[in-house]
Amino acid sequence: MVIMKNNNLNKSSVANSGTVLKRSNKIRENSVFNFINITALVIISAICFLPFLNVLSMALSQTEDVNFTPKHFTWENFRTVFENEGFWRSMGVSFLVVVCGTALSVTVMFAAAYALSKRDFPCRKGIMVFFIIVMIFSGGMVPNYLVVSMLGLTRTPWALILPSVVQVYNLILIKSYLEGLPGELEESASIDGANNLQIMFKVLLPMSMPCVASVSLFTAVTLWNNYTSALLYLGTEEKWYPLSLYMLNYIQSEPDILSGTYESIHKANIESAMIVVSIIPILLVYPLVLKYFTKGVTVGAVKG
Amino acid sequence: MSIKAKKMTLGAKIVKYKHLIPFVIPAMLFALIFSYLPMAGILIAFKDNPNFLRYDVLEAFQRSDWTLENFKILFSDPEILTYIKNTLIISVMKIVILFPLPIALAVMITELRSKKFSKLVQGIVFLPHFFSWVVIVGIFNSIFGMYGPINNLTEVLGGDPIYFMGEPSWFRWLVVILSGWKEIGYSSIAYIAAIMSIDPALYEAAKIDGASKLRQIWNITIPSIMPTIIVMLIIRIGYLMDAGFEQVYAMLNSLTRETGEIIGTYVYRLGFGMGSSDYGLSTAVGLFNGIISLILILGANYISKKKTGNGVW
Repeated sequence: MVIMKNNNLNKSSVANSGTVLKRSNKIRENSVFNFINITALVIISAICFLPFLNVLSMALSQTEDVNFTPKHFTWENFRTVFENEGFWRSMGVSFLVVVCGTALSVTVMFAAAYALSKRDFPCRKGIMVFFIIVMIFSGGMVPNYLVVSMLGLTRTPWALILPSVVQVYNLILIKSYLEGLPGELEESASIDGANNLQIMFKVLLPMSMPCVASVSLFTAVTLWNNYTSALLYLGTEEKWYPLSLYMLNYIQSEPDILSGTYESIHKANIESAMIVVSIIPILLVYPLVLKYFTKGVTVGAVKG
Repeated sequence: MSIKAKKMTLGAKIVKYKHLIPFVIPAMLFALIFSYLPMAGILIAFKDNPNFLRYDVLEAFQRSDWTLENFKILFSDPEILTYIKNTLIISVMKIVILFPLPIALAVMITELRSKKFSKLVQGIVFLPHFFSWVVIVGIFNSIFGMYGPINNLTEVLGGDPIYFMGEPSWFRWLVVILSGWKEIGYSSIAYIAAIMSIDPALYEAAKIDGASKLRQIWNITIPSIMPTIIVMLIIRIGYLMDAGFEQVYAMLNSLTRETGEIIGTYVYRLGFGMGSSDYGLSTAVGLFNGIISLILILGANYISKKKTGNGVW
């Protein structure tokens, strides 16, 4: 396949008759390069992929001594996870937090970005500085905790949603995107009598779909994965633990081996099963992320 | 943009956009409450361990004494100095080892002829970034576990199994390895985008001149994306003090604290860990970290803008 593609070089070299020998050396050199490149990328992809195989195999095994295939195949680990009420409850909390948190955060950030995308918006520079300061300095864990506590939000799921509404990076991305949109649609809508709210929802939001979709997906994934807020604000209120914190606690806990239950003896395998189930939502959403990524993020700025 | 717009007075701007001003208010309110208000809490760093457990926030604040003791401890306690050292070592290791790799990966991916294979590789390699640290630590606990593939390989090669996750001398390397697995793919995206925007005519000219692949990469690709590389590097250094709380907290255990505890995890332990809390000291250490971070980030952004015209803001 590689050598066939290199034939294109031959077509363009008809004019340079004296360099035919040089050309075939080049082709050989390019094939070597391509071969090494492809091989290296295959190895890198394997390194990225093999850990998943291991975790999947562990989830289907009854022993810790597992490489990349299951040993003593069993569904018992998954069964234990499925029967675990705490696991499902925390997954529910995570879904709740992700849906509410993403909707709220993206809406608030989009509205602010819309206002700030107007070049002669009052105090525009000052307001941007106001937000950028938020991005680069924070009061710290104790002060943040105390504020959330004074608001009465500790030990509630709101502590997982409200403090993370402001995402300045997203604000900047959306604002850049909106600034790049042509103004005519907006103008004609306002001439037709639409107010700003209608313009935002009916004109701008649809027009910025790639940007909004990718920002929403990234916000959702971040909220799903984050456990620091829960660690900080929920304390021992286990019923509101999101999946990430629930799993972290499980992973860090010591099994009571003396009790002799299946769970205590096969903790590592059950852990793996839990991990497998917990990454399914991400895997489902991933193709969407890939699709919007090329359209959305690289249009305005690149995350990195 | 007309000159008229620049000459608008503030009052005129407010009138023009009076219906749009409410759009920015919610965001500013959230920022005021959850970002600016806590900044006032920095004062706690100058207080002698206010008892927030027993009294309500403002009362506990008033009851405790003003002191500079927290900062004295911060600069002299050997334990804290160890944690600062750990933070810096891990951060520098991450930068030195992990910074060049996404660039190399981007070059490799963009040199692929087959679009399908390229998309497949990208799909696989970007994926780990989207998993939580909890998941990644769980996965690698198993990979580096006593009976996991790495130790099995070690045994096959004649060595003894190592309890990696509990070995202080291995901890920082594991932090780098896990971080690399998670981020190398995703970090290469910025470079892939930069490489894609290089003018193909440059390569055509080089090919006609007889340049080899490697020479093309060295003389065209790398110099063309230099601005991107420099911006990324400078910004990365700006975040030097951030060794990765979520990652390290999930990986740490009682065996690896001496090489693994970073400033962030120590701040957490002081305020919320088991045993008695010292809110004053926790805030002081956090403040110290925050200020150094602020200086680094501002400096980094300034330098980046000066050199290449690009920054984060």
